[in-house]
Amino acid sequence: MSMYCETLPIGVPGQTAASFAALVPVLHTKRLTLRAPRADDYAVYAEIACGPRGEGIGGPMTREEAWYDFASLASCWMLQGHGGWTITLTGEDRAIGFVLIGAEPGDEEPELGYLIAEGSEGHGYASEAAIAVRDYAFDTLQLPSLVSYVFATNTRSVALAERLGAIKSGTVIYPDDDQPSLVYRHPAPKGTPDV
Amino acid sequence: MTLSLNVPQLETNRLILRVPGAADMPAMLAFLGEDRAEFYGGPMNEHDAWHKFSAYVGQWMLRGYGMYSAVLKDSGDTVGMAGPFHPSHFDEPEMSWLLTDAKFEGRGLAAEACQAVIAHLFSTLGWANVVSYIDKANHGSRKLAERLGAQLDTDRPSPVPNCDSYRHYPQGAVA
Repeated sequence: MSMYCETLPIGVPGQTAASFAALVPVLHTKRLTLRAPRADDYAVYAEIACGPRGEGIGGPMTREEAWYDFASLASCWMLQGHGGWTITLTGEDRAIGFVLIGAEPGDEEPELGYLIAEGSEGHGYASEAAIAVRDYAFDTLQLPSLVSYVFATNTRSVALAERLGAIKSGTVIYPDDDQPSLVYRHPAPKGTPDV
Repeated sequence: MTLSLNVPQLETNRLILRVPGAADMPAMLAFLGEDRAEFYGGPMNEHDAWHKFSAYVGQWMLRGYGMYSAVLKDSGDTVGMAGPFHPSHFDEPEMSWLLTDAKFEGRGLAAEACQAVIAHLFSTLGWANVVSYIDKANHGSRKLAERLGAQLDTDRPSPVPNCDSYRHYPQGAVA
């Protein structure tokens, strides 16, 4: 049990949180179930965000910053109509990572983001989840475009963006970052790059 | 289409208290960018302000309770927020409040919002008490905490530097 442990709410708040979770579409892939983020997933998020692996998302973060970031996975659904999913192995409910369609101020277009816990790497789970969410973004949400912002130093994320068929198109610098992000543009369905 | 939570609104004489959403964002981002937000981690840039407000909203989905936005019935203006703020580094939820603009101060709106929310926490959610962490230099909020009947709690000090714990109890309860 880590210091980041959070448990599911009970009683009236538990019903409120569950009613939110039920509104988020559940996506299935061959091996994965993507569902709404829940309080009890936070320990996995914080272990990624507060550790060296958090560098890829502007960290390593403090416990406070990690909570704000984690809560944004959920809030985007209410503020933007798309948001974050917790990645689980089908049949197990435990979080192994997170995937997000979000837009921060300054983003000109929605972003596809992904994070996988250290113990679950190397199985292709991130790309399996990212493909499902990319297709959902284009097919269901009908988003006109989708990009991923990736630090050049984050070689794992760069490799994944390229494996997904995303095309490098420029760089952007965020106010709090000390290095630019590469902009990877995801192809629209049927392999037609949406330029 | 954005999702919305089916959470009952609270109503006072002048205010509707509801789960915060995109409509409250301009007022909240403006507030967090100003010196008046000094006791809320501000003033901060738009990027950080978005994350902070976003966390206020997301907490509702993760914990099932959170800060309400307070909207004036007659104008629809978002005058502030009030409710239990509960990030991961707090051991317990913290009854917090703010007014988005100086022009809403001095009218008793924060007190009106807080009274309704605190009553809801005790009556509907069944909480036995709730704490507020208030900066030693935040004289306005200290005065309001006292007006709401909160008592200084030296047994459970605030995790926030330079703040005192004020604890609210249901009316008639013995501290």
